[in-house]
Formats: sequence, C-alpha cells, structure tokens
Amino acid sequence: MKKIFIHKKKLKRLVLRNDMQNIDSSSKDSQLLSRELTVNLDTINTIFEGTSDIIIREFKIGTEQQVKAFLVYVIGLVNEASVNENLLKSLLFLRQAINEHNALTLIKESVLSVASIQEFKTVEKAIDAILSGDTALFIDGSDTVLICSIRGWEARGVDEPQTEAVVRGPREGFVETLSTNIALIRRKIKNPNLKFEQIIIGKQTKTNVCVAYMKNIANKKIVQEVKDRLNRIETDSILESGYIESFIEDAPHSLFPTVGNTEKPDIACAKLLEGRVAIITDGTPFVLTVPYLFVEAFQNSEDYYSRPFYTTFIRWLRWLSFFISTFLPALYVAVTTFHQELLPPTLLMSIAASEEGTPFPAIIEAILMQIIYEILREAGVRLPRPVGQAVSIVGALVIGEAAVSAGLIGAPMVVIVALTAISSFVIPPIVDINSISRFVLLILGGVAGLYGIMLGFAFILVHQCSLRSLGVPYMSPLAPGTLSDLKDVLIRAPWWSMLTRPRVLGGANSTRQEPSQKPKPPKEDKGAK
Amino acid sequence: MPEKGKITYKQLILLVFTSRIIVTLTNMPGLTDPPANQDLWLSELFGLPIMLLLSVPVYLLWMRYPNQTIIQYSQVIAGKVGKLFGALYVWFFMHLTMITLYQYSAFITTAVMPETPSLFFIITMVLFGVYAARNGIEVICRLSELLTPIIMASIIIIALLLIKDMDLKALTPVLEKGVGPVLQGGFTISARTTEILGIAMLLPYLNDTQKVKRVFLLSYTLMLIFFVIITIPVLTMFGVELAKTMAFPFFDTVKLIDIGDFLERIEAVYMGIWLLGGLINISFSLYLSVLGLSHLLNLKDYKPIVLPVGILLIPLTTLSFESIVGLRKFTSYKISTPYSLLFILIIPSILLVISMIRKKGARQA
Repeated sequence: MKKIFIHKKKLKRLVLRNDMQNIDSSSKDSQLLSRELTVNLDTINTIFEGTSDIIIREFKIGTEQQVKAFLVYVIGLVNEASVNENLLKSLLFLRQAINEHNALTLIKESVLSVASIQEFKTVEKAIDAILSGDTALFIDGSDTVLICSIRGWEARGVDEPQTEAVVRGPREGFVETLSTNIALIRRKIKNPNLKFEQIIIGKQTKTNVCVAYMKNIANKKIVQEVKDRLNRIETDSILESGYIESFIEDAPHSLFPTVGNTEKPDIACAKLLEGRVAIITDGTPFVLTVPYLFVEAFQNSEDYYSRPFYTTFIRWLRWLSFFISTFLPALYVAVTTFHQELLPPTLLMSIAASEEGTPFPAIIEAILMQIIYEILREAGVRLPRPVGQAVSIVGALVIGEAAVSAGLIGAPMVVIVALTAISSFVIPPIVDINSISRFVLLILGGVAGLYGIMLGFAFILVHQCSLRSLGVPYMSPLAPGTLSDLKDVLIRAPWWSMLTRPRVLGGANSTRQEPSQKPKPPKEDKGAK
Repeated sequence: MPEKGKITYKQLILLVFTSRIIVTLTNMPGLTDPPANQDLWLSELFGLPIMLLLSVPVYLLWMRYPNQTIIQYSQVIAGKVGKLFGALYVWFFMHLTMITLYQYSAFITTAVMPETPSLFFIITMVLFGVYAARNGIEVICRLSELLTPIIMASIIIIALLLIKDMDLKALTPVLEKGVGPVLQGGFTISARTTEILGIAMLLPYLNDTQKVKRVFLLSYTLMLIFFVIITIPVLTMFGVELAKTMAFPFFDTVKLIDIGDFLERIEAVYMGIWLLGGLINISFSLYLSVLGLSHLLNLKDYKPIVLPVGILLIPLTTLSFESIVGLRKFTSYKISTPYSLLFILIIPSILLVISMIRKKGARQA
C-alpha cells in the first residue's frame, strides 16, 4: 500500500515536471536571435507587450552608411544618465566608417565606454539580462546582442542593522542589494580564495542567490552539498532567504533551526573564515550560514572584539539565562504543586501567602501569564514605535501590578514570568525555540512534577543530539565532543590561543595561525627599571 | 548490519560509566554483599583487577570476531546452540531493562511522587527508551557524552558538601574479617557489572579498534572511583548496619546536606541528574535488547521492532516483580552473582573454547 502510494506520488511529480518543460519549450526557450533587426524588434515588442516600464529606443549609427540599432532597458533599473552619456551619445556621435559587418566588433571594442559587456545569442538570455537591469543593444546585421551593465536603482544605504546590536564592533549591516552585500564581504576578505557562485532560483522571480565560501578553508563536501540542495529547489519565488532556508534545512520538522542567519558582514565573514558557507539572497539583508550548530546561538560577534574574561562570564550567563528562560516557570509550577518540601520554609511561607487568595491553580496561572506575555511581546514588535510605549505601560501596570493587587494572580508568578522574559532576550537567535519548549515543559511540569520536566528535557536532548546540519552533528562540539573546539564554546579563549578552526566542520585547513603569539614584554625591558 | 552508526571510545566509556553508576546511586546493591561491613569501599577497589579478568573471554572473542556482536558470533561459532545462547542474551538484556525500569519506578514512587502509580513512570520511561533507541547508538552515546560530565561533577560536589558530616572512624577497623571476604566482595561487585556485555555488544561499532583495551580499563577505573566516592559518605554518615536497611541509601545521605542553613535540599539536584542518568541507562539496555534481537533474527533494520519490544516490556515489568523486596532478593548477591556470571563469564568462555578448538575466526595480531 505504501509502495503504491509512493509510486503514484513519483508519477505525479514526473508528469508535473514534463508539463513544466513543455510550457517552457513552447514559449521562447533557446530561441535564437535573427540577423534582421526588424525581426528582433518584433520579438522584443511581442514579449514586452503591455509592459509599460520597458524603454525601446531606435536609432541609426554612422554618417555615410547608416546602421540601424535599438536599445532596450527597464526604467528605474538602469542609471539613465549613464546610458545617455556612455551608450547613446557615443553611438550617435560616431564619426567612423561603419557597416553592417564590422558594426558589432567596432562598437564593442572602440565605441562603448562601458566596463562590463556581454554577448548573447538567444532571446531568453537577453530578456533575463534586460529584466535584471542591464541595457541591451541590438544592431542590424548581427545575431548577437550586446548586454551593457549600467545598473542603478533606488536602494537603501548601508545602515546599522536593527537586529544584532553591538556596543563595540562594525556597525554596517547588509542591505537588500546582492552586489552591495557581496562587496561588503569582499571588502573584509581580500583573498582570491573567497568564491561567490551565483545561482538563479525561482521560476517567476528569477532571484539571484549567491553561495560564498573560502575555497582553501571550507569543507568541499559541504560546499557541494549546499550547491546541490540549492540547485534542487524548484519553486515560484524567493522573496526572502527564509524561503531558501525551508528548502535546504536538514530537519524541517524540528523545532530547532539548522540554518543560521545574520545581518552583519563581520559575522558572515567570521563564519566564512571558520569554514562555513554563506548563502546571500538578492532582496534581503539576511544572509544564511551553514552548517549551523546549537552553540552558535550562544556566540555573539562582540564576544570576539572584547577581552576574553568578561566574555567568558557573559557566555556562561547566556547558558544560565537559556536554562532560566526554558525551565523556570515549569520548575516553579512543579515545585509549588508537587514538591513543596524542596523549598526552604520561609520561602514556602511567603509564596503560599501570596498565592493564597488567587483563584487559579499554579499551572493555569503560569500558562495564562506566559500567553499574555507572548501577546505583549508580539504587540510590542509589530506596533509603530510611538504606540509601542502604550503596550509597555498597559503590560507593566495593568496586567502586572493591577492583576496582583486585585488578587487575580500571585506576585511570585509575575516575578517568574518577568524573569523568564528578560532571560530569553539574552539569546535572541533561539527565542522561538525557547518559548515553545517553555510551554511544553510547563505542561509536563504541571502534570508530572520534576519527573515530567526532566523527562521532557531528556526528550529534547535526544532530539537535539539526533539532528545534523549538513552532516555536522548539531550538538557538536559538545556531543560528539571535540576538546579543541570547546575553547570557543565553554570559554572564549584569547585570539592568540585560538590556533585551530572548528574541527567539527571538517575543513581542509584547520590551522588558523602560528602558535606562541602570546604577547610578551620585549626582552631588553626586563629588569630595566 | 542493522546499526550503521560509529561511536568513539570516549563515548563508550561514558555511556558504560553512567549506566553503571546510576544503579549504584539508586540502591547501592553492594551493601549487603560480603564482607557486608565497613570494608565495602576496599572491595570496590579490589574489583578492578577482577573486572578486568572477567572481561578477558569477551575481549578474546572480540579479537577473533572484531566486526560482530556477541549474538552474531555465537551463531557463527556454535550454530544452533549459538542461536540459543543469542536468545539467552536477548532475554538477559530485556530482563536487565525490566529490572532497571522496576527499580527506577519504585524509587520515584517511594521517594518523590508517592501518589502517582508506578505504571505511569514505567510507561513514560519505556517511551523515552523507545524514542532514544530508535535514534540509534550514536544519539544515545552523544546524550551520555553531554550528561555524564554533569553527573560526575554533581556527584563530586555532593560528596564534597558531605565532608564535614563524615565520621571517618566509621571506616575502622579496616579488614575486620580479613582479606578473604573483601576479595569475595570485589568479586560480587564485578559480577554485577553487566556492562561488560554492553561493551561486548558495542565494540564492533567503535571507530578506533586500537582503543579497546583503554575502553575496558578506563571505564572500570572511573566506575570504581565513583563507587568509592558514593560509598564512603553512606558508610561514614549512617554506618553500614543502618545503611543496609535503607532502600535508597545515597538518596537519604544527600537529604542530610545542610551547609549553614541555606544550602539544603540538594536532593532536587540529585533527583535531576539521577533521572537523566537513569533514562540513559534504560535507553541503553533497551537498545541492547533490540539490537540483539535484530541480530538474532537477522533483521536488516532494528527500528521497526523497538516499539513492539518496548510495549512488551511494560506488562513484563509490572508482572514479573511483586515488590521492591522481591526485586532486592533477586538482586542480592546470592542469586544475581551466579546469574550474571553465567552470561559474563561462562557462556563467553564456552564460545571461546569452541572457537579455539574449531579454529574459526581471524585472529588479529
């Protein structure tokens, strides 16, 4: 029964794929350009019929023997001043002998003052280039179109990213333009081994997606796997890197993300230099990085720019807040419901006193408060900033203060929820995992006490241990343990002692720097004073 | 092979360590063994050479059949009788799982949640075991790798917190009954170490065959060191006679921790690590049962039988032991020592002898 089902599915997919190919081939797939300019003009005109943002400019080149030509571009995607100056002007004022036979080479080699010129022979490629913002120059008598890249459109400037704020460190963030993002990375890594490979994904949107990696550092298998997975995507549209993430992630049914994202070039560069692969998508400032391991959520770009001692302390704090934000409400409910004997008598007395008049049992109270907190948080994120303040007032005063004084909920519960919320903000990358697993553990703790919580914890751990991100175990370097990688997980070792790149990624070249670079006082200074 | 995963020798050591140490944390079965006095910790130390000796047959067999588990090579060596041996081993692992399940559920119901029926704990623990075992040995090993350091650290911290209340005089007189009973105690403690068979089942999945000797040596040493760390507080705080009457001696010891009236109720921490370790133990022995069964039946994949075996274990566990007292009778040295010796020593020795006579198996240098 199962086999038949699979078979049917496969068959359906095959049929579907054939249909798609038919549609493609029937339209304009690999249709060659004509030597006749009028034919090409007709083709372009029919394809762009009813498209008002296309400009087609016909003109003649040369003084004696005039050669007909026309330009095609999309308004708003090209720098029109530059098109006028570098294309039209130099062609219209051409004073050289020109005929249909030498026109193409002559124009390409000695007339156009444009750096990037490509030659295409098919209609499809010309159309793709025009729609990407290039200017196409068709010349009578040649079956080749000249694609001049004079792109220029309105875009947001490089800005400080809203997420991933830092006190110390570069403040520039990625923008929505692919070429700018690539340049931002290239400016930091001036090395020919840094490769950017472009792939076009999305049948309708034809989005440019770029795979970046360090050829001398990254694991070849991982790079190949990323490319394979990207090439396998057959979808209508890629509007954000999240689309790609959901197509390439290892565990689509898991709560835990196995693909990371960042908005900052310095983070992307650091990950590339560790041997990871970055996927840059046109149209979004969020760059994906793979493989993504659980411990990365506890690392922050600023960790590496500050001195190691406080950073190590902060890392431990992040782990602590992760546990607080996941377990605290559940533990509170479990202890107050099942294991009151675990509390010191004075604490027990004060909790019992404040919970005495409240109408709900602890578990209901906790779930209600958690839901209200999540609502407040979501409201705060979506609202326009001036209104956002109202949310915090309503949240803090009405729901917090008033609910306690009205005797609806106990004051300790408000403290617990607030502490949980604050702790979860310490580790922004896994806030989503945090709030869902918190609810699950809360229910388990309310049903079966400490036993339930530990059981849920063990289930989550087994699940985490079973995950992989592009073949790399998700919980590494904790499990399977790699001792040398723990220098950047449990502590943040000083830079001079971080001699190796993360071994779990299995890159070809794991040595980061020479040993014994620990700064020492110069020898002649010893005992001088 | 039903299992395609590979594990490192460190993972195997930690897994074996945890699954043994948790049993001792629960009910400290060695207390009633001879010498049954304050020399228990000495017997534990003497256990190391005896444990190594007991592992010799299994080790030699592994040398002959490096890519097979004990259930597979017993069939190669002894044919149909080997199949019977294999079936006995599968039963042994299942029985082990049942004992563990029953002990743990009894511990939780008596110590922590007296109003919940023990069936609830058995079912949930089996479900966890099924989930973990289905994920394969790699995942179980990673889990133990993640948790064992925490378990070790907690035990050491608990022991340190107890130091001020220890009365080391309770350990005297040393060797009260002479060396004989102490050695016998070492022997019974070693015979309880059924993890020897766990190692024998997992050696084929080790990624580095050079480290096998290290697995045996290090896991036993670690185990015995922690046995002593656990035993000494119990012996010095309660005295051996009182401890013998307790169902869960170490738990009761932990309850006594009280540093300056604010550091108390450490048993919550103890419960936490105990439960995590116990769950590892259960998933490990359930995994051994299903892996053994799949080898016995020559299955291509062990995953489909995990849930059926797990569900089968639930009624078996509740039916086969009447009470914790009955279980303690079984786990006392008089019954459990010959029972586990049969599996650890006798059957492997028989297999080894047959294999030597028939000169089967490629001997590795």
